[in-house]
Amino acid sequence: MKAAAVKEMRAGERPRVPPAWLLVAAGWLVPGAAYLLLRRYLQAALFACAVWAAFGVGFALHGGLAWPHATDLAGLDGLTALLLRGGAAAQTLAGGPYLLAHLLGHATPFLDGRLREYGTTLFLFAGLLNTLAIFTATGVEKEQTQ
Amino acid sequence: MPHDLYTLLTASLVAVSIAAVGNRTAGERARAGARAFALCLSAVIGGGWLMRLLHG
Repeated sequence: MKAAAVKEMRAGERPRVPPAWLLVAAGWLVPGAAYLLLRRYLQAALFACAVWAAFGVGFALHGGLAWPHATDLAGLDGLTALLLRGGAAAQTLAGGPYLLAHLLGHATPFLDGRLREYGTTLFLFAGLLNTLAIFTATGVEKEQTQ
Repeated sequence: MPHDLYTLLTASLVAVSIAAVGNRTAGERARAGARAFALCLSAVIGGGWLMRLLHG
């Protein structure tokens, strides 16, 4: 990373920094890709390993990825229903692994996912880690453009 | 999955993510990750003992 950036600096150019929208899109689709585009390979590898490990173990533990339907939330108070919807929404932030799991036909019903809470929580964790990777990478991008 | 193994897994994930953020050298990242991992485990063990003292 640094060697390539130094080479460009020596050539009298500023290192090319990808736009923030590209970092967000690539980072969502492929965990760690936002750092990869910034040529920060160690950070890219660390985030990719963390997101894929959380998602892989969640998958192995049969966690739930399903969106809660009205019937699943029947009888729950508003706050609990909102938290369950928020949790399901946060899982989508894992991006590529989330899409891959759906493509592979991982379709644990919502209530089964609540019973296998360890796996479901790891899916949520993967989404939050990927979000952290994207936001910190966009912060680095801002630093580099200034 | 046993609780203790799950705790170790989540502590590792937190440690890796903390090590990955910020503008640091590889050595500083390793130290930050190790410290985060140790702090996570201390919090779990300390919290466990605190609950045991409070509730028996």
